[in-house]
Amino acid sequence: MTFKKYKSLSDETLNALVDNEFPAAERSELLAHLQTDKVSKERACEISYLKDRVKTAYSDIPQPTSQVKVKIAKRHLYRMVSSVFFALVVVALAVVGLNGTYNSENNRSTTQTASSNDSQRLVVLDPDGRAQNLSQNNSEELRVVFHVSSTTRLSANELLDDIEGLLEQSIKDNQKIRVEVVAHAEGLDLLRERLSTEKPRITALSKQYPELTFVACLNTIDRIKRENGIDVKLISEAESTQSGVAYVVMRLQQGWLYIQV
Amino acid sequence: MIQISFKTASKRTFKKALEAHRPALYKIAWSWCHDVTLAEDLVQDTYARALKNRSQLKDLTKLKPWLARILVNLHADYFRAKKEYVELENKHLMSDLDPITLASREESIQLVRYAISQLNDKQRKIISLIDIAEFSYAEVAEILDIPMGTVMSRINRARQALKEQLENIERQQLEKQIEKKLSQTTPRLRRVK
Repeated sequence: MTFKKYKSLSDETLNALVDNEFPAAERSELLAHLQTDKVSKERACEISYLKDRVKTAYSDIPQPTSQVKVKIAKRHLYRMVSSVFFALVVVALAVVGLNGTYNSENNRSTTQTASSNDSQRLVVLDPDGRAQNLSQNNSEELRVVFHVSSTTRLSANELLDDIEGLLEQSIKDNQKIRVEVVAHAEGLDLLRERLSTEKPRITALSKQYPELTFVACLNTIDRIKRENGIDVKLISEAESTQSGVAYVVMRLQQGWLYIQV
Repeated sequence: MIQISFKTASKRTFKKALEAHRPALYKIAWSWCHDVTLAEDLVQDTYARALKNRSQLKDLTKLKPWLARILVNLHADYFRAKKEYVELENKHLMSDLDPITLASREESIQLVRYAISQLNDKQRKIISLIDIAEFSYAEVAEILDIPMGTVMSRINRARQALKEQLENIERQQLEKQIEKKLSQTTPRLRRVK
């Protein structure tokens, strides 16, 4: 950081000086200047005094009681159990669905056999490095459904990074691919005209990759309307389905790779 | 095989590093909302998200500003989700602070906290990040995703606003005290025959 040698120092410079933002040499020079500039010196003292008062005011703050900690821990545990329960339900439904499909195919044609060795195997690791769902894709086309049930600016950005990376890589490898992003509950914000932080990027990605589809849950839209009286407007790239969860289950039954966001 | 892996540091190392920053993070959160439960909740959510996204952090020495950035986003998300930004914020901030009845020992502390609660969100955040959490301007620019020049002008405006708030409150208190003193010392008129 540098400063211009004015007769009187600017407020920004004085703030930066008090906040110790200048290298030692410049700081010394500025402090020497203050000896001859009473107005700036007085202002710097005011800023410094204010800074000290703020620091003191927050040096000893109320700490959360054990009751608060237990309450919050319970809420987080509840969230975790809910998501695990949901994941189990989805996996169970998928297994039932896949078995049904497999059996019915066997019944139709006894000459058809499952050739798992030829199929492409996908492994998705969660942040802890544990494998989530193993999915086998028997067709040549790679099909991935991203299930978005909550999102923030950070995770939405990360999600789109992953999707873009996946699409790029697949096209580069001449791998046919279809990707669907199904948004429901809080995740719907990703596709809401007013709330989406990633609208320009979604528009660009949709234009660039026809293989990519965004799907919004109409049940969530209805609930928002019912509970908050808000008419949700989706971004133009979003398609819709009555139930986001049912849609994801359907895709799982069809053998799509499932990634929960 | 397509593999999405997020491993950088071991989870235990990362958790230890997180714990070291908990008090500082809680202090920042509390200075924004002045609410113990909400502050603790925000810190907890920050930790959960940090653990989930730890692969994004390439340099462990930048953990504190990275956590602060997550906290900033979560705080914004919280109020956006509630859609009661002003009302809720004021309710949280005003609940236990009354400038007129402040006790003398804690007076200065409560006065500053009250004055900070009266600033707008941007001003409150930048003051807490620089004065309470002691982040550098460069770190604050990264945390709030704003240019360095904006950090400089914003901290300047925030401090000016804080100074004005403090002066207003102190003047009000002084007027109240004088009024009280006058009402106690003014002799009552006596009818003289």
